[in-house]
Amino acid sequence: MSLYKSYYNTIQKAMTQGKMNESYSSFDGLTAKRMMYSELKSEIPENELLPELADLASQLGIVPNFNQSTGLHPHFESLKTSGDMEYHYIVSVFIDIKGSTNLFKKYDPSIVAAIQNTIQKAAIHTCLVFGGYIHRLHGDGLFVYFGGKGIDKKIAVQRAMQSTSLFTYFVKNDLKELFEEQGIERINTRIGIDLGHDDDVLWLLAGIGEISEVTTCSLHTSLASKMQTYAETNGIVVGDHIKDQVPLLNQFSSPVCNRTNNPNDRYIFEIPENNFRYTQHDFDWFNYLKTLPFIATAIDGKLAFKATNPVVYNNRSVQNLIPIAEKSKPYFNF
Amino acid sequence: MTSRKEKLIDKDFRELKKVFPKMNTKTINQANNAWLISGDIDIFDVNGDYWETYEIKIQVPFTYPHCVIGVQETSQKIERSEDRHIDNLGICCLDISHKLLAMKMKGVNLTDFTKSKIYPYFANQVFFDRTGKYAAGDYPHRFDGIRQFYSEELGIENEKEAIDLIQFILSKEKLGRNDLCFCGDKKFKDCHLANVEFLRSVGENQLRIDLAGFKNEL
Ligand SMILES: [Zn+2]
Repeated sequence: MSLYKSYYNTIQKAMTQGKMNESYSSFDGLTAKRMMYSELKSEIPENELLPELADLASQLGIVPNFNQSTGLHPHFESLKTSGDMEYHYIVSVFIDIKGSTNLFKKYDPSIVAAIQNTIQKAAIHTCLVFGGYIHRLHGDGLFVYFGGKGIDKKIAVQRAMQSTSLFTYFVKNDLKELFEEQGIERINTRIGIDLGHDDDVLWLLAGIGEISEVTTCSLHTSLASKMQTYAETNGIVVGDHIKDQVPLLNQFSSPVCNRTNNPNDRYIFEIPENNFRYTQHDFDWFNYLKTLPFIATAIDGKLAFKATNPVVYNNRSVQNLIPIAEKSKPYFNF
Repeated sequence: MTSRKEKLIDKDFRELKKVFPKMNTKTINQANNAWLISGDIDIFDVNGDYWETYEIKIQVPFTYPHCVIGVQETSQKIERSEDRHIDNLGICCLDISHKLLAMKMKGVNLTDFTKSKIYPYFANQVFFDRTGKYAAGDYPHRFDGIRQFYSEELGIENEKEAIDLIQFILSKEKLGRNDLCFCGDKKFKDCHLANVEFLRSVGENQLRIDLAGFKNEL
């Protein structure tokens, strides 16, 4: 997808550079490696969006917040000093990126680092475009919150679903192609998402001193993390609250047990004595994406970003329309 | 309208949505005895590059699959003019009527029609926007277009041949494949048989119009 073209190109460059220098990892060239790493790293700016992602953010009416720091959701900052606690809804998203271990079989750690950095940057930027807040990085993965004070819950849920669907498409399609080209077992994502309502989510400072973060204590944050482990390769699993909040999502959800054929997988959590049963659902992110206003679907099922700024299309050629257009010979007889 | 028809259109509408996911609304237009399927159609080129999205309405008469499917462009992205083969209401002239009528006789499939007629029509409009011409040209307007169709696609060389051909079909005379053709040239099967078969499927109404046109009576 053109949205991620620069990320794609950077990873491709890292792979070919890393391979070209067969002796790269053996020779004692920390300076060379440093240069290579920082060169690759600088291909994509950190604190600004490339034109197409910026276009998407403006279509969504979002000004991404690059000034955030992990472990301190800006809407709950005051809890860090006050030591107070507060109840407020949040959408918790766990994104796990698996399979990059295979990169070590082929590349020097400095190349692996550059590749991982680019993929992670793509993930972070995607979340920021949709107004997400990156709460924590772990390994190759991310823990992201959507929503906060003054943000409509429905919108927060939709943004969480849209950003994760888009990022999954990038990994499943663009990265897959790139990794297969290089003969590397491909990397994939597993994502878990859940919504905790105002009564369910307690915000507070956890940890001690500087080893601390403003975080949520919530069944639904825990469930999001747990559901991520139930997701299939490049899959997204969501809890009941997510699909109840946005009725449109129902048509894209089906209980995880339908896929696994194991009735035990239906509920991610239950308290039988209270008659409380919470279902986890596979989310059909691919067909959901096709319905979004900023996505176009080709006849072969490939997706494209509908940019409002035509400048990014400078590689297109009108000649490529001819084989389709010439099948039509219009006639006017009114 | 029978429930059998309703089932068929629902099945074919689901099939259409798989390929064109934003063609997602189906309503009934009782006045026109038709279903209306509306939404967005996205245009890509053969290289997979995205170009444009049009908001359209596809009108599917209750006689589906034996019908002429109509298309209206509602996003106003195409200038309303004869040169663009679109009228003031956005009704699109997808093809020469004869081909659409022949398809009606055979029966159409909603998804195939959208892929083979509607999609190329809009790809061609994108092409026109950028180049000022159509990829494979267009038919001249009104009867001149029909004249061109007879000559280019049916190989009919002059007005007399066209008039004789149409009058033969309208007379409902029967000829065996090995009989001498009505034009007296050679065996029917080696002569005008294919023309006769195609034009029969177009239907008498259109043929009467064509006849009047060739006789300069329009
Ligand atoms: Zn003949």
